[in-house]
Amino acid sequence: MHQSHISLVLYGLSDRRWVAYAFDKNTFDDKDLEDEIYSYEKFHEDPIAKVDADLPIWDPREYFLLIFKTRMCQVLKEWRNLIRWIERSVDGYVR
Amino acid sequence: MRTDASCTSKFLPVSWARLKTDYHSLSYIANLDPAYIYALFQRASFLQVSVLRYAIWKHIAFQTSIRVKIPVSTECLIKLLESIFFSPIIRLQCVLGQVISNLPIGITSSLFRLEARQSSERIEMRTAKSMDRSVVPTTRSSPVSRSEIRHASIAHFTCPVRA
Repeated sequence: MHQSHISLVLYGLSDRRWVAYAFDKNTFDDKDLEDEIYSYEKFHEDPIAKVDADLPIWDPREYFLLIFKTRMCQVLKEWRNLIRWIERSVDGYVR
Repeated sequence: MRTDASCTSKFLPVSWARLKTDYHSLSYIANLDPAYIYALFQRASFLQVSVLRYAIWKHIAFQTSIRVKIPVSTECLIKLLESIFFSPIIRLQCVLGQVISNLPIGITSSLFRLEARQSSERIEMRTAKSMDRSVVPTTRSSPVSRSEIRHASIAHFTCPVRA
């Protein structure tokens, strides 16, 4: 099991001018972020919302909800994987 | 730290006017450390400092929190009133407004004062006072209309929800 934590701050003077800060802390993901963001491939992923960075979301509320949904799905997936892994381990031990 | 400022993308279905005024910046920091924190505070505007400090503290402490703060400024209030005014509920109220407008103005304002007492926000209290006919001088050139009172009471109900 690994511990992971993400924080998101959205700050803006209006709906049309805003700033987002995301802090991600994990001890297992060793992907090179620089290569991911500044690669010359066609698809540039927004590392916060996991969407196409070339098609930005202008509405901060929509952006927040999208990130919330994406990250909640990620948490759910990790928990499901963990439960499956524990179930398999228990089954293997019982047999 | 990588900052991805909004740029003019050819795929973006927005007008040029919007591109000139709209701005958003995304900063993604993996594994925050003191150097990043220092850089962030050097770069952030003074308005963002308190928010950032709170978020970084919560992040470092591995605490779960959600916090929304929408200050009620005059501009916000006007936008809020505009958005409310064009909502179907208000259209319905306009239709039913005949019934309300038939009430004596004293009853409407005292009802509003009663509701305002429940709120601790000064701005709303001030609005309530200004809407109260008893504190408005009788020599006032433009008396408070019933429609103004209705809008103010709507703002009273809606502001705490948005804040």
